[in-house]
Amino acid sequence: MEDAETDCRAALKRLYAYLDGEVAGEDCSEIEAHLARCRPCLDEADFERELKRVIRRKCGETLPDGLADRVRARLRGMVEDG
Amino acid sequence: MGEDGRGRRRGRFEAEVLPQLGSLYGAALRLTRNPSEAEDLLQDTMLRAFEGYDGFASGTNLRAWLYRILTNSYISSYRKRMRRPQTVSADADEEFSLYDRLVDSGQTPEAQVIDRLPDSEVKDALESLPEQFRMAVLLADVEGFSYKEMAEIMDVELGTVMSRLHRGRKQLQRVLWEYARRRGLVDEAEPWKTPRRTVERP
Ligand SMILES: [Zn+2]
Repeated sequence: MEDAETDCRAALKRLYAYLDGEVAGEDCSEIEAHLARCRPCLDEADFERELKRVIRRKCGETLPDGLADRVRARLRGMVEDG
Repeated sequence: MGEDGRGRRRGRFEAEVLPQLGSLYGAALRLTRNPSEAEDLLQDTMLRAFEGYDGFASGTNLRAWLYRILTNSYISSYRKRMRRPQTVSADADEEFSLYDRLVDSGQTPEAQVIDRLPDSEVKDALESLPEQFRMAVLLADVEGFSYKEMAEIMDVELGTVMSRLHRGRKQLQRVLWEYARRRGLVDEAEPWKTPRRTVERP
């Protein structure tokens, strides 16, 4: 099983870069091939991918009322002063 | 430049830049951790961006340029005012795996546990990270920037981007695990009971 474990280590080492869309070409195909045949790594990849989504969704902010107008007003004031 | 030229420039600036205000505000809030400081930072960023707008070559990366200005404004004017102590040590947690902890606690699907945390706690967890790590996770996971864009925004090498991001994510995972435990979403009564994978993590 040493070979399989070496494969897992190689896949997990590049998992974040892969999920971030930063692995291309042959390296990318290698990781995908490993995920296709290794359930534990696939589960871990799914978790990390979903966690990224959860963090993104939960950290969203909406602009407070009036802030866009206040920014515009400052810019206009600057144009008139300058 | 005459009155008309400046007016036209402002119009173009507003059309191109103001649609980014919402996401810039989110980043400003995560950095300053305070709504009124975030608004000040955003205003400063907009004024600096407007001043530098002529030097900004259209067709290049507007979003990355704006985030770089935001980051620099934060570092030069706001950071020194921040008093809240960093709650996570800078070198801990490199090996922490939230996934392993959740698998051990018998939670499936694992990411749903974190989804059950209130938004405010996830934001708080992110804000608890040391600034450089917080910035890396924010830019990659919340704002969706590429490593190359992050290197430009933070003005560091690609390798530094990757290492900050990795460490930031691990620290964030540890804080999220703590929050989930405190809320009783996971049970760590008998840790390490289930057989674990022993694959060494990067
Ligand atoms: Zn594997």
